[in-house]
Amino acid sequence: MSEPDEDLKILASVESAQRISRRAFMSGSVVAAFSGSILLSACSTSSPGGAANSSGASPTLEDQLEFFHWAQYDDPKLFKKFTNELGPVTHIDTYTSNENAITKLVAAQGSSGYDIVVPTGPYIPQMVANNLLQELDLSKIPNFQNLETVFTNQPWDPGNAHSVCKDWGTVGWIVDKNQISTPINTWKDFINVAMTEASGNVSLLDAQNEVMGVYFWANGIDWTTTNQADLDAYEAWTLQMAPHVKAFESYPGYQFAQLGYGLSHVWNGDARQGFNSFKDPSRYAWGIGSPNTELWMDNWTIVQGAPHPEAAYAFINFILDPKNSLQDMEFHGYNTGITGLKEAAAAAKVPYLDMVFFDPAQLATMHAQEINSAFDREVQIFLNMKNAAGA
Amino acid sequence: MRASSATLPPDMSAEGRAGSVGAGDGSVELVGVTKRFGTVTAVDAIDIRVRPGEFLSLLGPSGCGKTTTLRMLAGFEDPDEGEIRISGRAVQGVPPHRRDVNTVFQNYALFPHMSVSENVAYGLRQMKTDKTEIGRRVGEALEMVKMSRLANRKPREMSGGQQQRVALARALVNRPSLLLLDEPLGALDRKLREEMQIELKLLQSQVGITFIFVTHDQDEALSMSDRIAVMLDGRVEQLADPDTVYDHPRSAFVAGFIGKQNFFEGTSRDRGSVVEGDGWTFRSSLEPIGAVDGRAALAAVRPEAVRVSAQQPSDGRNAISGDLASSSHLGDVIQFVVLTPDRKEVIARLPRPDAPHLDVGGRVWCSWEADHTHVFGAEQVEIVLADPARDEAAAIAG
Amino acid sequence: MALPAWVWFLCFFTLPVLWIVYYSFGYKPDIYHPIATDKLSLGSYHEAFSRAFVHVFSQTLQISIIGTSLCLLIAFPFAYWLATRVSPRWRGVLLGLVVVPFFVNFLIRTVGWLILLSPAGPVSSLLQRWGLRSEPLHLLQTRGAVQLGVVYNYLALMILPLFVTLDRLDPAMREASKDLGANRVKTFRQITLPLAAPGIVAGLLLVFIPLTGDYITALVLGGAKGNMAGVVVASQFTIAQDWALGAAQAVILIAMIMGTVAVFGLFAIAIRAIVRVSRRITLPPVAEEAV
Ligand SMILES: Nc1ncnc2c1ncn2[C@@H]1O[C@H](COP(=O)(O)OP(=O)(O)OP(=O)(O)O)[C@@H](O)[C@H]1O
Ligand SMILES: [Mg+2]
Repeated sequence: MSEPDEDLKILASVESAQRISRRAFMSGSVVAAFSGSILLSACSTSSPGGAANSSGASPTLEDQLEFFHWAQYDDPKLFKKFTNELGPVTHIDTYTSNENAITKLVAAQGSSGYDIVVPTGPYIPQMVANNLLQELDLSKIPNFQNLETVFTNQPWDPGNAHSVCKDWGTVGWIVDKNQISTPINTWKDFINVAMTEASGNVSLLDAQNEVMGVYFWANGIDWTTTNQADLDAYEAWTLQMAPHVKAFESYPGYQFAQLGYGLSHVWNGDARQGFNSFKDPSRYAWGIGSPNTELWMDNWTIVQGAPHPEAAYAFINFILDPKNSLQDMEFHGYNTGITGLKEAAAAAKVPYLDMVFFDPAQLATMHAQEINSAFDREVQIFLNMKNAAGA
Repeated sequence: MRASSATLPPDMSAEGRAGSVGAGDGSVELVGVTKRFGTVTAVDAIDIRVRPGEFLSLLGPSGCGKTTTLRMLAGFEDPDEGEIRISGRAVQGVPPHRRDVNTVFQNYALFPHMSVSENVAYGLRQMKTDKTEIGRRVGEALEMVKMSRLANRKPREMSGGQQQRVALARALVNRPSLLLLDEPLGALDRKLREEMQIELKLLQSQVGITFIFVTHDQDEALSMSDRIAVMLDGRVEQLADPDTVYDHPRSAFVAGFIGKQNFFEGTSRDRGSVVEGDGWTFRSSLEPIGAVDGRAALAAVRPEAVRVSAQQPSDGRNAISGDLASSSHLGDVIQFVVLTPDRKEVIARLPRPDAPHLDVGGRVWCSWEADHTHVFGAEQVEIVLADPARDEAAAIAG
Repeated sequence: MALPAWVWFLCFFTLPVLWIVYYSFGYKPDIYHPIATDKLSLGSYHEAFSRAFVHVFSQTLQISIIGTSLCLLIAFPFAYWLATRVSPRWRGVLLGLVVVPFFVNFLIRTVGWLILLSPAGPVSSLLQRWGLRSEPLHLLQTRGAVQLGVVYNYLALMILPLFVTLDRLDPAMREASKDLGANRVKTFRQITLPLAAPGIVAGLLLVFIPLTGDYITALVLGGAKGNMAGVVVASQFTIAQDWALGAAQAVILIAMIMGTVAVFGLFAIAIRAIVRVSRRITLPPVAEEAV
C-alpha cells in the first residue's frame, strides 16, 4: 500500500458509494446491516495489506481483540492487516447510537467482554464518571505523537487520559441545483429553502443533535444551551419544520441522486461519498454550515475490564500509523487528525479533499456538543418532531 | 319399517321447481352422450331413455362412468358429444341451479354450518318461497324421512343414516321432476341399508318423481329398480328390467356382474349351440351372443341351475366331474365348490332340502340343462374370468 | 413431559407483556440508565398521550386496517382460484411462488421495493420513457409506499390460511348449493363465505397483528410521512433509551390492537347472529311421531 495507484482508488470510491457507515441510527442501522453484510463479504475476499512490519510485536499481546463499534466505520482490510502483522484476531459487534452503546456497557458492569469502544466526544466525561473506560497509558501508543495537537487534549478529555481521536467531522448540506435555484450559504438559508422551494423534498439527519444544531446555529444560540425558553422555541420550530421533511435519513449521501432529494442535511464524509457516486457532480453543491456549525469527534477508548488490553493498545497504535490512517480515511471520508494526512492524501490524488480537510477559519466556526441536563428533553423533542412529520 | 310411516303429505307430488327450466314430466333422454377427461373417455356414446316416474338404476363397476353420467344430468359437466333432454327439453348450457333436477350426493354434502331444517330449507329459500310456506314444507319433508325430532341438529351431530335421510329430504322438498341419487346408501350398514332401500322405493312410487339411482351393488339394483342400465367402461351394456337382465344377459360381462355365474372357456361349434372344451362339451338351447364357430367362446351357467351328484347324471344334461372342495351353508341354500381336473372351480347352490349329502374330497358330478346354458363370444373373457386374487397379486407386483 | 399449554402461554406471552406493563409505570433516571422503577407513576402514559404520536398511532391503525383489508381483497380471489380452479400440480408451483419471498429476509424484501420505487428506479423511468410522466415519480417515502410495502410483506400470511380452508372445503358443498337452485353469487355468500370464515379470521389476525406492530417496512419505505407506531416504540428503546415511555407506548399499541380486534370481533359476531336469525326456520308443530 506504499504507492496507492489510480485504479485502486476508483475501486475504493465505488465501494464507498454503496456504503453506509458511522452512526447508523434507526433506518440507517437496518439498511446498514443489510448493505454492510454484502460489502463485508466482498471485502473479505480481497488480499490483506502488505506484510511490512511496523512496530515490533509485544510478546504479551493477546490473541484476540473485541470491538464494540459503529457499523462499517473502518476499512475491513485494515483489520486483516492488523491480524497479519501483529497476531490478534479481531471481532466486531456494532451499535447504532452512543446511548445504545453506553446502556449496554452500564448493564454489563465491566464484564461486557469488549476491548475497544468508539464514543463521540461529549459522551466521554460521564462514561468516565461511570467508570466505563480505562485510563490510557499513552506510552503504549507511540503513534499518538502523529496526531495534530489541535485534535488532542479536547475539553471532554483533558490530556487524553481516556481517549484518542479516531476521526472528526462536521455537518452541512447537499443541494440539487436543478431543483433548487436559491443559493444556500448559511443555516438560515438552509431552513428557508427547506420550508419553501425544497419543501416536501428535504431530508434531515436522523440524529437529534444535528437537527437541533440547525435551529440553534441559524438563530445564533449556543447549541449547548439548557435555557428552557430556548428549548421551547426549538420545540416550536421542530413542529413548523416537520411537515416539510420528506425523510429523516442518516446517510442520504449515496442515495441523494437515486431518491431525488432537492436538499439534504448531511455529514461531510457521507456527502463526499455522494459526490463520489454522482454521475454528474457539477449538478450538485455541497455546503458547510455557517455562521457556526458542528465539530464532532469519535474516539478510540479502552473499555473498563477489557480482556485484551495489550491488543487494544496495539491496535490504536497501528491505526495511528500515517499509512494506515490514510487508507482508513479513504474508506470513511473523515479527517483522522494525523499530521501530514492532507498532503499525503493530495499526493495520492484522493478526490474531494475539501470535504475532508477544513481551513483554520472554517475550523473556528465548528463547535462540539456537550451532554447536559437538556439532553433527554432534546431527544424527546426530536422524536416528537419525527412523529409530527407524518401529519 | 312400516309402510304407513312413510305416508306422503298431500302436496309432495311432483310439481317441479317454480321458475326453473324444466317443471316437466321428468323424462330423461341421453342421446349419443360422450364425456372425455383428457385421454380418458368416462362416458362413451351412451343412449338412455328414462320414462317419467321411472326408477332407473345405473349399475357397474367402479370407474365405469356412473357418476359422470349423473353429473352431466345435474349440469356439473357438459357432454363433449350428444344431447341430453330432461322433460323433453334440451338442457345444453343450462346451469345446475336452473335445472329442475336435484341430487342426493354420494357423501350427502350437507352444509355443516346449517341445522337440519336449514339444510332442508335451502332450496326453497333460493326460490324466495314465503317463510311460513318454507316452514310447512320443511316440516313435512322431515316428517316424511322421520327426522322431525332432529330438526335443530347440525349434520356432524348425526349418524350416516340420519344424514342420508336429511340429504334426501333436502332434495325432495323442492319437488324436482328428476332426482339423482349417487350411491346414497353406500355408507350405511347392511340392516339400515336394506330398510332404506324399501323406504326409498316406497317414497319414489308415492311422489312419482323420476329417480336415477347409481349403485355398484347388484342386489340393490335388482330389488329397487324398474329398469337397470348396466355400464362398463363408459358404455351401457344392457338396459332392461331386472328379470331380463338376470335371465337374459346381453353380454358375458352382464351375465357375470349380475348374480354369480360359472364360466367355461372353449370353442364354439354348430352356430354357437355347442361349446367344446378340454374334456367337456356343453350344449345350449338359448340364443348365443357373439359366438363365432371355430373361435373361442364362453359357456355360462348360474350356480342355482347346477346340480351335484355322486353318480354321472343321465345323458342330455351338460356335465363335468371334479373333486368336491367344500360345501357350506348360505342360509337356505348349500353351496358346493367343485374343483375340475384343470383346477377350475364350479359353484353350485342348491336349496337345502334338495342338497345331497356328499363327502368333501370325493369325486362328484356337476350337471345342468341346456336351456340354462348361455353362450357368449370370448371378447370379455378377460373381464369375466378375472380371478380377484390374481388381480390383487398383479396390482401389488405392478 | 409436555408442559400444559398455559405454562407455555404464561412464560412466552403473559410474563413479557406484564413486564412491559410494569416498566411502563417507571421512569428514566438519567442518560446512563434507561429505566428505574423505585417510583411508579402514570407519567409515561401522560407523556405518551400528550405528544404527536397519538397521531402516528391513528395513522398506523389506518395503514393496518387498509392494509389488512387489501390483503384480504387480493388474497381471497387468488386463494379461491388456486384452491378451486388450478390443477394440483400447478397449485404446488404457485403456492411455492407465494412462499418463496418468505425465504428472503424481511428487510431485503422491503429494500427491493426501495430500488423499484425510487424516482430513479425502473417504475419511474419506464413511465417517463413511455411519456406517461414528464417528471420522476416520487412514490418512495410516502404513506402510499408503506401501504404497498405492508400489503406485499403480509399478503402470503393471508393467502395461506385462506387457501387451506378453501382447499379443504368439499367442492360438493358448492355443487349441492347450485343443485338446490342457488347461483354462483348466492352460493358464494351462503356457502363458501361462511365455511371459509375460520380461514378469513385466521388470515385477518395473522396479518393485522404483526402489520400493526411492523416497523421495518415504514423505516425503509416510509420516510417522514409513512411513520408507524412500531418505529416510534422502537426509537424510545434504541435512541432515547427511555424504556418507561417506550413501554407505555408499547402498552398503548397492544391495547389498540386488542381493542381493534375486539371491535371487529363483536361486529363479526353480530353479523353472524343476524344471519343465523334470518336463516332460522320455524317448523309447524307436529304430532309426536313414533320412532
Ligand atoms: N374430473 C375428472 N377428471 C379426470 N378424470 C375423471 C374425472 N371424473 C371422472 N374421471 C374418470 O372418468 C371415469 C369414470 O368416472 P366416474 O366417477 O364416472 O366413475 P363411477 O362409475 O362413478 O365410479 P365409482 O363407482 O368408483 O364412483 C374414471 O376413469 C375416472 O377416473
Ligand atoms: Mg361414482
